Amino acid sequence: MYAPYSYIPLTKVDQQVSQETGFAISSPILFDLLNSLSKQDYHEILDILPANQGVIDSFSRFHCKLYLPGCLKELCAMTSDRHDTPHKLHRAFTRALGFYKKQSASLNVIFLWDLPNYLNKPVMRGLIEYLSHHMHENVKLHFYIHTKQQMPASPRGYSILPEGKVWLENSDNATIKSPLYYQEAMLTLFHPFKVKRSMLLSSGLQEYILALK
Amino acid sequence: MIDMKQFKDNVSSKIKLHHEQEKSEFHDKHTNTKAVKSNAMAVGASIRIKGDVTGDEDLIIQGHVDGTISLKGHNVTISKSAKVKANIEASQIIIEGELAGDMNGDEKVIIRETGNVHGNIVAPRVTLEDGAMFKGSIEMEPRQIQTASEKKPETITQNKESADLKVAP
Repeated sequence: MYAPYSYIPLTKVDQQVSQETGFAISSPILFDLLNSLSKQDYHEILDILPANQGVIDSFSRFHCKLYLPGCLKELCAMTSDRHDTPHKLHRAFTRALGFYKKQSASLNVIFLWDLPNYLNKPVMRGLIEYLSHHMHENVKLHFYIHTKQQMPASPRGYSILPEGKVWLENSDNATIKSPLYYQEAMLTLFHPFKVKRSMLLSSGLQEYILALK
Repeated sequence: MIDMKQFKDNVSSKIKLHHEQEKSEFHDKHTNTKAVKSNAMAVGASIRIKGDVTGDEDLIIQGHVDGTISLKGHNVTISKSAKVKANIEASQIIIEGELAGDMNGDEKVIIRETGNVHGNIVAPRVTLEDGAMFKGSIEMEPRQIQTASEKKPETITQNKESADLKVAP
C-alpha cells in the first residue's frame, strides 16, 4: 500500500503550503530513519505528541508497538521549581508517560519533535534519564532544534504525511526567544547520546538524530 | 498551546487525499457496522454491568460496563453514551464513547471522533478519527509477517554510515 519514502533534494525543502494553518517540510533524516526500519524486525516507538492517524499509518506496515502517551502538555507544564528533586521528576514522568509503570519498554525510536526547545534544562535532562531505563541499545532519538532567534511560543503539532513530508501546525502567532542550542550545549542535555546525523532545514529547524554512545 | 482539535483537522485534511482507498473501505465497514447493529445485542443506557461479558453475537453498549468483554469473532460497539472500564476482545471494536481498558481486535479497532480511550490496542489495523482522544499504546502486526516475526527479534538495523553533521548557523 505504501511506496517507500523518498525525499526531495535539500534545495527544494520546506515547500510552504499554507501559512495560516501550517506547512509541509521535507525531513530527510526522519524519512531515512523510517526507511531503515526493517519490516521483519519488531520495533518499539515512542511519540510524545497526541495520537494522530498520520503516525499510526506510518507504522502500520511494521511489526511494532507505538507508545502514544499524549503527554506534551504535562511535560511542558513541568518546571524545575515544582519538580526540584529526582524523585519528584521521576513521579511526574511516570504519570505523564503512564503506561511504562505497567509495561517494560525497550524503545528503538523516540520522537521528541521540537520539545527540547521548550523544556527547561533540568526537566529535559530528567526526561532523558527517565527514558534511558526504557531504551534499547540501538535506540534512535529524533528531534528538531530551532536555529532562529525567535520560535513559536508553544510546541508545534507535527504529523507524518504519506507523500514523505512532515506537516507542521502553526500553533499561534506568538513567539518567544529561542534557546538556540548549539551542538555542544545540546549534547550536554542528551549526555548519553552522540550525534548520528544532523541537517539544517530551510525552515530554520535543525534536524537531529542521536544514537547512544 | 496547540489546539489539538484544529491540529488534527488540518493534518487529516492533508492526509485525506492519500487515503481514498482507505476511506472507501472504511465506508464499507461503516455500512456493514450499521447493518450489524440492527442484529446486535444492546446494553441500554441505564444498564450497569459489573463482571465478565461473553457471548456469540455482536454487542452494542450504551450503558456502563466494568469488567471484561470477550466476544471473539464478533463486533463490539461502545456508543457515545457508554462508559466502559474493561478489557475487550473482539473481531472489530468501535469506540464512540469512553473506554478505560485494553483492546484486542482481530480485525480492526476504530476510535470515532467522540471516542475517548485510555488503554492499549493490539490490532492489525487502527483508525483514529479527527477529534478522537487516545492515550496508550498500539501494537500492530501486519498479517503477512505474523509468523516470521512471532518472537521479538533484535531491533532496527544499525546505520553504518558515519555521522553527517552540518553545524547550525
